[in-house]
Amino acid sequence: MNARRTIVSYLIILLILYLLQFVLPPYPHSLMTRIMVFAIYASAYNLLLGFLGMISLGHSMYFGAGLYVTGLLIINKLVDPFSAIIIGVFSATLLGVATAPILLRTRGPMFIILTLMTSLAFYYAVILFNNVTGGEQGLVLPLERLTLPAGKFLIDLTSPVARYNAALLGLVIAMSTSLTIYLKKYSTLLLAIKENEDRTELLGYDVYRHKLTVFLLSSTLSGLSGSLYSITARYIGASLVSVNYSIMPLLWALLGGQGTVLGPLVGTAFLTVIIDIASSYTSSYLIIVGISLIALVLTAPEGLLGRIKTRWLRV
Amino acid sequence: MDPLSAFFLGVLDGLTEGLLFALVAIGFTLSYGILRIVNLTHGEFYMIGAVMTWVLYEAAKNPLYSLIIAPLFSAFLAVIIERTVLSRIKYAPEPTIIATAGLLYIIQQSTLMVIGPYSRSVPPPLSTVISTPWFGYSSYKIAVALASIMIAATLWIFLKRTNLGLRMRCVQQDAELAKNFGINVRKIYSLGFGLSAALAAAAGVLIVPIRQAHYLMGFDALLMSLLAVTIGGMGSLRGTFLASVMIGLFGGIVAVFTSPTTSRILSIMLVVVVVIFKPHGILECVKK
Amino acid sequence: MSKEPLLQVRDLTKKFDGATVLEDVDFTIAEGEKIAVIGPNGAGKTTLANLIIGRLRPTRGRIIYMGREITGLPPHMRARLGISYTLQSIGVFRTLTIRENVELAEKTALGRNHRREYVSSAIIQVLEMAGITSQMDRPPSVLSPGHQRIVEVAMAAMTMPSLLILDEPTQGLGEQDIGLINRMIEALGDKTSLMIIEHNIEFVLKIAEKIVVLDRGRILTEGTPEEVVTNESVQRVYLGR
Repeated sequence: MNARRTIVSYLIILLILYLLQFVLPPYPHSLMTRIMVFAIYASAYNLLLGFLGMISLGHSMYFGAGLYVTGLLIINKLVDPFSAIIIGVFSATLLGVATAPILLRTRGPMFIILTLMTSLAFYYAVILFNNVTGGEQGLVLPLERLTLPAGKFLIDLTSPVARYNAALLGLVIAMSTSLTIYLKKYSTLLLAIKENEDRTELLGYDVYRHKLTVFLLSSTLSGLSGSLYSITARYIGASLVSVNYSIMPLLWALLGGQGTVLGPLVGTAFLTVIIDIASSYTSSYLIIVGISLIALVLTAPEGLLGRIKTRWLRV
Repeated sequence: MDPLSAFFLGVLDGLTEGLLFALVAIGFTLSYGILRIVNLTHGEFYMIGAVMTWVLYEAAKNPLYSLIIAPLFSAFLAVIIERTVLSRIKYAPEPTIIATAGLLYIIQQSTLMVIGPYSRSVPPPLSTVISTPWFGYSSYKIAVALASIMIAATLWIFLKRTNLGLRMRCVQQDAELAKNFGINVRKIYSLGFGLSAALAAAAGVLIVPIRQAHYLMGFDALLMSLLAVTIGGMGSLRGTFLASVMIGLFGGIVAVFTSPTTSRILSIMLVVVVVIFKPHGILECVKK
Repeated sequence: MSKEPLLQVRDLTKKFDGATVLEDVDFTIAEGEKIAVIGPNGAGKTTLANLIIGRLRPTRGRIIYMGREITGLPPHMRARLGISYTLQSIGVFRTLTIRENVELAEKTALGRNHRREYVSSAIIQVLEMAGITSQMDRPPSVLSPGHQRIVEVAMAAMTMPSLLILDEPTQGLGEQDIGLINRMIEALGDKTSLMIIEHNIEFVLKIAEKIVVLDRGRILTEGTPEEVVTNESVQRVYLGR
């Protein structure tokens, strides 16, 4: 593994992303913001999928925690946007801490089912308390709450520039996490756990603690994505915490191939663009999600299981 | 209505719903028992049953045929899926979950394209009301509950007493061993999967007059199945049936005092709590 | 030895759903002692190892290691205290390179033992002899099963255990590879205790100071190699199968 080469390619990609904002016309510009916010989510999801081989169908819960806590704090004029983001992310971490003892005791199919069930409970809770959350219809974040004075300047978080760079910053945090895990060779231990938990434990490693660490990183970063989504899209709604938004990150991560850092970004970009195009033709655009999943499963060379279980590459 | 009557009504409604979803849940557990797969598409067969009932009603004004046609169609569709997708990925656990999730979207969105996003209703074939001192109860709901029990009983007899049922049970116990005994495991897989889909579709047919047909209704059925097998034990028909009835009962009673949404949340939490203490299901039997 | 024994197993019993796999097993391993556990198939040897390493909980009985009760400790804690175990099946990680496999094992020994440098290099030397060191950056699948087994034993050795448990390490191995396993064990020095489960009596006679014979879940007899080999009931049990 060539650390320097990996870091250099990573920095080049970030530079390209940064420069893109100056050349993109308005619609692709805001689409790119959306892609980056979702790529944070995909990266977070990939921590569990790529490094530990765990398929969660319940990550919309953590995304939703960030989304709703941040969004509601801003809508109800409780704190300034920055604090709202921090509190939102933290609440996603807390939710991860609360759910981990139940979820991490299970493996394989049971884990998948339990994650699905708990995120459905979250979704129903959002619907139940719809006088606060706005339910399915959702709530819009007011413009005036998103501009703040900072010294002599006025930071307008609703401007395309601010939104793009906020998303980019979040993406840097997310991708750096994956990259650090890889560069510090923590990924070696995680891959060992992915391959054979028992054997790793016999070597003296506290497997539960490591799964918990990655799980909490994953839920926290998912919350970051949700928080940033509420601000960049200025909208919170129950559809964003439905089962669809638990399956999407899975698809983004898988579509992006086996790259550790780039994979999620590529997969997210690809699918988001396709869905964007498709939704202008039909309201049944989610069928593309279905077709993609089937295609992935049938065409993966070592089989999809092989794709998940084998080595994920560095870029 | 006084609280006691409301309570009884909740119990009856809960039982009916529990029995109906028990059919779906048994179908789910059957495909797990025989093929060892978690089939996320399962709820969509239930939806297909319901939607076909409405379509046939609109076309021929007689929904009774759908009790035969819809399950057959679903079984047929299921067998196609099993032959083209599931056997290709060799029924491996995680790819199957992903594949069936994909199929869920394909079926759901196709239905959306065909019938649109609206709820479609069908009047019940029995509109008499059975009066009790406390309230009047729809005779159709009672008929549905009885029908569910009958279908479940028929399935039980089929599995226990017929040759084909015996072969299915053998494959469920040990597919490798069954192969050595000359059982055509491939065929049993297809039949088993088809049967599970038919059960779900039958439940869908029965429920349309009570609830409406809607392209998203499969999610609910899937959730109910998952809850039931988690408590009842994956692959255990008896456990799943009992668990489904229990969950239905619980949900029905809770819904009287709160709301359907709250009862869903509480049902999920109940299951999660049970899982913490009894990870292998209440009957502790993995084999039927 | 006037010191306390390293490992004491007392009244160890394990039942599975009514079937008794191990019953009232009692023995000790002293520091630096090398014992072998032998017995026909199904005697409970692997179950015994699994109980000591913590993958199974006993139905009854106690396990005392370095003077403390470890009967309730999870496997990774026992490993950290110095018990290492290789499974019957080959347990190297296929998705990692050989180097990563060895480093993973080495990391857990951090701070454990001042002999580390010496022992590490001795282990690496054995790998060199096997010609494995030239392929360190490739996955274990490039090695023969015998060499994979050698890497696995090396990994267990790298954790600087005080008690190394090997479960049928020579199964399927040729003369040369068995010799390398032998060298690996020697590299650990005479302060490391060894419990080896084996069917290969030749190998056992070369290595073990004491032999424990298990039959149908109970200890049939124990003693020095000479004693055990000439023991009549042992001969009956082995020849009768």
